[in-house]
Amino acid sequence: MEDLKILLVDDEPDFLSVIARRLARRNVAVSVASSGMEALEKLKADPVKVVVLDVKMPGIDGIETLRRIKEMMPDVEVIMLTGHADLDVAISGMALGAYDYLLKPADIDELMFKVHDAASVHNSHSS
Amino acid sequence: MYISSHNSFRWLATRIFLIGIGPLFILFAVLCSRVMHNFLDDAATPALRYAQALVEQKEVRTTQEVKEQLSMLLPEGRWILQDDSQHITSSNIEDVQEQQRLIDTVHKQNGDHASSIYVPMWPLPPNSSVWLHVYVPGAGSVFYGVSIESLLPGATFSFGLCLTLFFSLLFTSIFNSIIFSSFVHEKLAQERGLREKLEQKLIESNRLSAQTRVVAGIAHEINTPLAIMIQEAGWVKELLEDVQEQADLLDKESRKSLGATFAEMNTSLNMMQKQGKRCADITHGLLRMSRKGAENKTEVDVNVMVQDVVHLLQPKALDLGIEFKWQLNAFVPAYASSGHVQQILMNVVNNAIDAVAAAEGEEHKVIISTFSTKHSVLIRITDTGVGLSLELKNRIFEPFFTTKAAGKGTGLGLSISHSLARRNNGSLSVESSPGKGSSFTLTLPVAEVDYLPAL
Repeated sequence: MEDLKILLVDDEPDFLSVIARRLARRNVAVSVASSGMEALEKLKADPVKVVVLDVKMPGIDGIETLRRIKEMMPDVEVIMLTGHADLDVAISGMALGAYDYLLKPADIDELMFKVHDAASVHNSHSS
Repeated sequence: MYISSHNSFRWLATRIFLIGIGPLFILFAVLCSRVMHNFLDDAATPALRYAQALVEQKEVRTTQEVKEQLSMLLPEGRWILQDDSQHITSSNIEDVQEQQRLIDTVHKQNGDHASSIYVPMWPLPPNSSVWLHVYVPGAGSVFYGVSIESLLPGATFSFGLCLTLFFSLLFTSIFNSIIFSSFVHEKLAQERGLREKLEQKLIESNRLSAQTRVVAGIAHEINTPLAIMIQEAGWVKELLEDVQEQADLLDKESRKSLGATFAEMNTSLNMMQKQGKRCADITHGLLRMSRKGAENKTEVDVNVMVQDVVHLLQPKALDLGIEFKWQLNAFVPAYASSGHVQQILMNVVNNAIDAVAAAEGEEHKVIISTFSTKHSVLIRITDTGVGLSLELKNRIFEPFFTTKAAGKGTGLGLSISHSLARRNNGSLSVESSPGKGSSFTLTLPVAEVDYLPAL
């Protein structure tokens, strides 16, 4: 399996850390960002194929971040991560071009599965 | 304005009624004065005819004689005599101005050279009289005033008539005001009863929705730490796998003891994940309950919904020896989100099955019936289960309220159903008697359709 690099965006550092650890174990290189702005900067400096994005964040929220990412690099696939209450928001994110969404608390294997899917879609775009 | 006691409302109603019939009393007064006027006129007429006859047959020739004849007929009268050129010649009234004023009044009504009767109009001036005016050709006029009291014996009938009218009017108005006020009173009592019921409902649903908001807030906050906990447990499991690989390189004895510990740790971590997911189910349930936002409402054929649910739950019911029955009589579709309706039905029917399974009676039945009225589509789920006491019934829709054993139910099913029903502009209500079973009714609004489907 080729090395995959993703950007994980969530305002909860503990959540970032554990997901990063578990994904790293599955041969996924993870860079993390704890806010929408930080995510945009990191993405600019170091482009990745897939972004996993929490919907509910202080500052600019997930939907706004998604819009800006899509403006900046339309090829990047975004997976929305949401609590149940924000399901509608996640669905409207789909309309904005997100690849998929996941309910929190997400199963790590499910997340892996969707990340790989998104990456293959990204590859087919760029090839 | 708020009036607290019944009686003041009654009094208000009575006053309104009395004010309302005021015009009737005025009409009555006018009528009575007319009647009295005519009858006084009639009572004085014989005396005038008599005097006129005397004058015509020339039995009397002077005004003086006419006056004497009249005073024989109607004693104690006041009189004024006039000559042919309308000068007052004599009178038993001392005040000259008064004499002229009285003559003017009579003339104003009747004209000059004619015999006539003058009856004063209502309201009667004090000390007023009915005046006879007899014209004697060539001699002058006689004005003879008779006090009303002395004419009254002739007007007894009219007086009696007026009295009768007055008392019947009075009686009718009092009677009606009592009727009217008690009618108003009864209406108000009805309204109050209705309002109290509504308030009760409102309080009930407010209480439920306030609880819902609180638990949803808590659920939302718990969600993230929960996710972290589950992930961390998963992480430890993964680390454990690494350690296990290394342990395989050790000698047999320590591998055995370590292996047992690892197995134990693995079970424990699995349990942590499993319980964490259970918590997640609860928080998701709570959040679903409170979620706002657009639902895609469509026309929903509740009959099909019921059949689907019955089909899904039939195996479980058969296992427990419970018989399903259904009667589908809803002819119009409901307007609701089909996912919600299905979820509500699943919850309620599941509950009914559990209630029947717990009951000891001979009958083990769950009956689902659908029917429609003009404005709503109803689905009723009746079971022959354990039933609910009044206290249970009042709390049945509260979140986390459950009668099931710990771990068997979250206590959210019915409360989610209740809020889902409300979000679809419907309602979910329960009727029950302990030991006999309960009946849940889901009411949904009818879809607006221009046509009636073929029955």
